Amino acid sequence: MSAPVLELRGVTIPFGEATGASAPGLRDLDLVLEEGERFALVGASGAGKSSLLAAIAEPRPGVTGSIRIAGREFGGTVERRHTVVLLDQRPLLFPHLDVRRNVAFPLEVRGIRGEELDRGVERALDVVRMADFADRRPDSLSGGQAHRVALARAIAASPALLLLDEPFTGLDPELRRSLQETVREVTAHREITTLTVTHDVEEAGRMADRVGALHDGRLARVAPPAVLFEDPGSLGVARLIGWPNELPVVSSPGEVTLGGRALDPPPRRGAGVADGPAVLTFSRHGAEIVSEGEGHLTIEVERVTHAPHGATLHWTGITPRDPAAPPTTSRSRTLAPRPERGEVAVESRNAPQVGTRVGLRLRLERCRVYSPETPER
Amino acid sequence: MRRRVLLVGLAIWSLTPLALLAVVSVAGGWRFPTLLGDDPGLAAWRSLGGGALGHATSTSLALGIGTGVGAAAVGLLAGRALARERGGPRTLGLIFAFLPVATPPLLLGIGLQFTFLRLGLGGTAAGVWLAHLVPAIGYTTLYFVAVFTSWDFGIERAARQLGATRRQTLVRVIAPLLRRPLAEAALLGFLVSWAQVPLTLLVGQGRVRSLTIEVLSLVQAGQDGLAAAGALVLLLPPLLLIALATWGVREAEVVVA
Amino acid sequence: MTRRSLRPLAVGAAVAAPVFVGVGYAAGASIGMWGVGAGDALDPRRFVRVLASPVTLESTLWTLRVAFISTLLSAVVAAALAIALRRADRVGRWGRALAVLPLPIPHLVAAVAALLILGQSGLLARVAFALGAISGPAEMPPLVFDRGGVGMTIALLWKEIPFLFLVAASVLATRGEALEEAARRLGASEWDVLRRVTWPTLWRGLLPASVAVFTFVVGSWEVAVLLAPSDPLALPLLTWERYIDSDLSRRPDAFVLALLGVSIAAVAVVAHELATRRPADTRGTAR
Repeated sequence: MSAPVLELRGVTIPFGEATGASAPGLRDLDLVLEEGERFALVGASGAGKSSLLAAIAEPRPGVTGSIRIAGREFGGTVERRHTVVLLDQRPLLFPHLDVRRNVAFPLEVRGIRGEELDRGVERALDVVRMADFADRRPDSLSGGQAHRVALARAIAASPALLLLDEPFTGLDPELRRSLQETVREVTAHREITTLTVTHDVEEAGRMADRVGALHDGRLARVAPPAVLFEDPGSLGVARLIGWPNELPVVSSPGEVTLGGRALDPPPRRGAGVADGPAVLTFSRHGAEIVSEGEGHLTIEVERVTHAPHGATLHWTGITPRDPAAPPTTSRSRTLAPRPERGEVAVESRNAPQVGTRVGLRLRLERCRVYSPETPER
Repeated sequence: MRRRVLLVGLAIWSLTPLALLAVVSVAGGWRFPTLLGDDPGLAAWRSLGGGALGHATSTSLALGIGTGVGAAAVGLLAGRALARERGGPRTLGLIFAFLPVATPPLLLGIGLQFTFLRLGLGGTAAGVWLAHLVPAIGYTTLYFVAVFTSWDFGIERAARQLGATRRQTLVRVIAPLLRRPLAEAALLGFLVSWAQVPLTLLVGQGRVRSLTIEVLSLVQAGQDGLAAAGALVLLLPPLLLIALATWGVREAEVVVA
Repeated sequence: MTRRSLRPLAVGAAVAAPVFVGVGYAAGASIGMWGVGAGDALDPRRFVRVLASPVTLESTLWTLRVAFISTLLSAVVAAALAIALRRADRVGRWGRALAVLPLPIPHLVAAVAALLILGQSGLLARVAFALGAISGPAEMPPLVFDRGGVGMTIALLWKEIPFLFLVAASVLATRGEALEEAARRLGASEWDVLRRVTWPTLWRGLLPASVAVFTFVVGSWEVAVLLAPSDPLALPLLTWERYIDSDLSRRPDAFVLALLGVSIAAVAVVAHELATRRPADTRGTAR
């Protein structure tokens, strides 16, 4: 049984080591990646994600905890066969070498010469569909092409672990998606373990089999995308993955009441939801619009925005109000309550008029009830 | 049209001094009121072969090359160290690095002459070389600070992650990328030494006769022809530099002014 | 504070070490701690004597005046040239090449040429004679060794305009165009653009470079030794005279004067830092 490719135990990246002044940094991070696994870490900008990747790629001061790569404590020199390659927003091609020599670089420094070298370069360029550009200089490549070459170069190094730091940001969305696809194909084909960090939840879903959500400096939840996006597990993560609707409810044993009325069937409650005020949250698809007077509550249509994948209704002003609006009584950190507004997916053709009042029927099986407090661990 | 006139004026302004030096160097005596010379000939230039001017030229070349190489090497290391880190000490470090450039060479020479004498370097070429290195290193350090401020250290990191050892990173990535800046810095150091007067005079104690010292004493002795020939030789490396840089003189080379 | 973060300081200090040694020696020698002319007792009053003497004052003022005038004229001409030659046509290209030409030429060469052109029997005098304007060298107004420092100023202009021109041209190229275009789109006339955008941008960009030129000119010895008058002596020449004075008791004066020169340079370095910082700030807000 071989050691995991990456094993993080209690890794802490202090405040300030992360970029933003108000960023909490990362605390006590535990994470194990098995060989061939594709993992993505999502978190708000400045959460210390980039610092974490940099620390995995190369030892840096201020980072505490244990980082083991292929079972070896990291700190001294990492053996060549356990190469860790970091791809960040910039392709970082060597400007004085052409595309072929760039891709050959990791092979050459390992002493690989001759036919084996040529074959390695060719294969790497083929997978990223850049074989025709072998003789070009880096400065003559477009942004997308340069990233492809950087990927080919990384693959040529046969890394044990490929780190991607907000990969391909700044490229146009189409190109970005196609590069993400390429990374998926290539890493799947070569069974390269990847760790992607991003603030973009959709990217995380596309790039990874398992997603870890960072909230408040901690790894709040780790799950496959399908599970994570259904069950964020806490209010903070629900916000991180972009659930736009929050309603105050009261949780008591066996039932959840919204505006004094018990919801039936009771929506699923997250772990650690105490009796008393709680928050019901759901994605844009967690409710549907019905006529005024029907459904669970009445809302006002503030505006409707249209996008290729459907329209969104922005609502405000719910009735009935909950007589027991959640007071903040706890000693632990409480997330600031959202203003009374939210978003629900509607069909473009029969979107209701702006300013009218309509009913909102919750799809209770898609709603979750969480504590407004960050769980203290 | 007005810009044409400007161009002609500029040509006269910039080129007349150079042309006149050429005329006087072959005038074979340039007594008032002659314009082109009393006895044109190459006598002044002949002294370049074996005379004092020739000797001074080799001295200056040796000093210049030595200073260029030394200043480029030291400036590279100092500039890299200064550019790599941010924050308070760096600003003060930069101000320090500015001092050898800002201190007039005459005053540097006056302050250092005694120390050089004590070290047995007074009147020696080695002493003058070391003295020239002081301002030259100041210039090359500032130059390399600029180079490394826009340097992408990510490239080095990428090389290491792709499996290169420190040595391989240096040889395969850093060195090729530094070739051009090093050449430019060496040129800069060469020119600082090449044009130096008071430092050479004070530390060399009149015994190390560089081309500038020779030209200065020829002018003061009224030997216009020889002085002009020497001045023209002093012109050659800078003009070569202009030719190399063609239209765009890079900002770093500008520091030499 | 870690050792690592102190490294830039150590490196800067190492590069500047010879200056510290030189200044330290000069400071000691100026009060008679060591060096030629040092008596049995320290003489700190020498500072006051030398600095307060009319010769020093006159010499300093003369040097500062010539440096100020030549720097100011260089900056103005350089800015005007940069504006006139900024177009990328043939005139612009040739003009820029010609304007930059004297840049790497040693000051000594410029001084020698100035002597040959501007001297009382120099090229100008000969042309005037050939045209019948004067009948002999004595009638030529003195342009070198003159109290006004005209010849020296001209030689300095020849050397310093190219540097400032280059700075001005690069300021125009990097910062000017976008701002000017923005001003035009906002409805400014060409005159408004010149007055409100081009000129302020140039001026801020030229300031640090001008401070550097000024410092250099104040300390420049080889131009002064060939072109400056013997009364008053330029500050570097006065320093030199005292340093080689046959009266050994006057030699320590040279160290006081050297320290004065270094102080002027130090003030200039600080001014340079301030001048570099200001445009950086305004650049920040302009973006």
